[in-house]
Amino acid sequence: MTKKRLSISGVLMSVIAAMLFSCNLDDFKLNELAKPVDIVPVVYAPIAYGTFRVKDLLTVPIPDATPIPTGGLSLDPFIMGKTGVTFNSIAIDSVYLQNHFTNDTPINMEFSYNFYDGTTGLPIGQTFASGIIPPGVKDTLIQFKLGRSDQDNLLSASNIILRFRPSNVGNTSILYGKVKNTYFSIKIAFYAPVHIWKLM
Amino acid sequence: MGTNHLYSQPNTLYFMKGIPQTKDINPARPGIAGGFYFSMPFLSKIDLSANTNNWSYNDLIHRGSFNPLSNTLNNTFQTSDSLVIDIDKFRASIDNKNFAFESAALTILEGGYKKGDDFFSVSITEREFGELFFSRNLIDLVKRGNYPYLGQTFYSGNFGVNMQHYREFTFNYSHDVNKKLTVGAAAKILFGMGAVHTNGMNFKIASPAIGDYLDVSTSGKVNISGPVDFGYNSSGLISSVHRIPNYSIRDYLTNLKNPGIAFDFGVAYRVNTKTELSASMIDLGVIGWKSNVTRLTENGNFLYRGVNLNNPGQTQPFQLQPIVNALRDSLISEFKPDTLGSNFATLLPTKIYFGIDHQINDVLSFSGLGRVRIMSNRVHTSLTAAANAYLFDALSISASYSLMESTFDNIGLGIGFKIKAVQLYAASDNLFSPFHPAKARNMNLRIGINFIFGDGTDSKKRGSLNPNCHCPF
Repeated sequence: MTKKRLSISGVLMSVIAAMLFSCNLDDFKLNELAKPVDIVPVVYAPIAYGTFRVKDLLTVPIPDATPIPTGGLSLDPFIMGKTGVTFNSIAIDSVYLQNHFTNDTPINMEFSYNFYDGTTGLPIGQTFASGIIPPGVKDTLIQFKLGRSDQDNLLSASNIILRFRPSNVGNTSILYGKVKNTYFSIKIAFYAPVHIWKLM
Repeated sequence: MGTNHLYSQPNTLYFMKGIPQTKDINPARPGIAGGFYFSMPFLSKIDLSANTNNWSYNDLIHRGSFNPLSNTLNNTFQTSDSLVIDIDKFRASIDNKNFAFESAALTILEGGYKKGDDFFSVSITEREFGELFFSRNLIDLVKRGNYPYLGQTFYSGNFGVNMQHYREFTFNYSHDVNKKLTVGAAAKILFGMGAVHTNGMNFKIASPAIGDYLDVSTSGKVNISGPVDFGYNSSGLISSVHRIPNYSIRDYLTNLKNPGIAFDFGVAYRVNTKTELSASMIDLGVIGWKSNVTRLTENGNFLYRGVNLNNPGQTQPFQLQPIVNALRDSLISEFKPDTLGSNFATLLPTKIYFGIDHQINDVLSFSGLGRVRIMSNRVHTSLTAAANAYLFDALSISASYSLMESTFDNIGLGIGFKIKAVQLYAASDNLFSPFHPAKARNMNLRIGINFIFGDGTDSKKRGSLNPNCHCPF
């Protein structure tokens, strides 16, 4: 009986030992983790907002009876100094700049962005232009895609210049006096796919 | 205050014959008919357990499949030699509420004595457990980002961690009231070593369809007891975590400043000579944490719209940095956690068992065990059925099948064999999971060594054994 017990003991110990040492841990070797990792969340955040009255963006006032030129009326640019603020990440290949524009003026509106070198005063890269925005439009979306080169230009730029331009359409003549006390607004946000693996 | 997850001891152990440690699951089942026992010092018993709510490691990370046509950004091909993070598969595998739980226990010393109707035992055990819980919404946020949630309110669900390490001094007593009924109880003095406990951590992000603002709100509490100090920056945010100076491992292991108490209760009732019903409640207890405590609470709300271009104080060029800094400071101020008072308490994971054991003959019995867990006002059950045998006057075997945490592939085994006074035993509810832990959703293992003397297992004395001993025969 003792021999049988010892035999059983030996067999069972062998089985337990085999179990303990047969554990497959290959899948826990995280140094074998492949890249890229297919996790690309899309991150969104508001950037800025503002509501403007036409006449507040004209440093030099003009008479009310002045018709708005067909080519548009140049309002004072909105200059944003971005020194010390970085809009760049290696994990982001493209950034989409979303602009919700509300045109409560009786006239078409346009807006555009440019990046400027603060030292030379020269623009860097392309101009992002909205095109014509008709009067009465609420929160219409105009979206710009900033690729890698655009982001690099933004990184090296000192200023971002936002320009607004009311303009006429066709032969309709609108006088400045009817426009000067009307408002338009812009809400600027961005969204960007973030490649998580580039942060790892 | 704490988690009510069940953990550690395999259900299969409950049915094993002649193993004194069955009292750990039901103090009314001492496992020996008489005599005394002690366990191998530092190898009295080792309990290891890990489980999830039906998802496995491989659901998140697994070997990739070879695709020669795949051409990723860096010309890296996913091959069967590489591990890949598969967030889609992971997301499909998890429930709305999820957890991962692990525990370990090491009994340093244990001994017991049964004479007549009374059984006494004492033990010293080092225990730890850790739990991570999260909701599926959080995984969706990582996978998709917040952009798809514009026009909605995103809710993270509660998430957090609960970890405790404590030392347990147990005094166990059972009494055979009559030939049918045995009652038992255990009183445990506890000393907490370290704990991290979160409560109600969650956040919400609401936004309109055009996304012109994000309304962010957060709440939650974190309680920590351990030899760590937090450094704070000028904004009041935690900037560093470091060990308390001159605090040694000896100081940690001899810390008696976090006392607690717990109780076990059990009953076993023989319906007839072949059938026994039993029930128990294990680890009804609490630990009060008083030493090296840091308690943080968060309750913030911030409506983020971005930079206001109509800021009247600004002149051209409109500088973004001071505005961004002011925005950042407002965010920090709103979401900076506050510190609370010095003490907190945590509950132990409490378990409730219901068992039935039916003896077919001198060798074989069939058993059933129900385990109840109450968590977050929901009741979770697991069921185990087992066949138990005692062979060659030495070998106790229990083969079991369990339904646990929505998993249906738990085939367990318990083995105990005794040569002279030396008894070795091992039990697990899932025999195959240790071979492939990456695929496992439930793993547990109990092993131990006992020295048993005068328990009447000599076959000549079988007829005089107490029928309540839950012995092999």
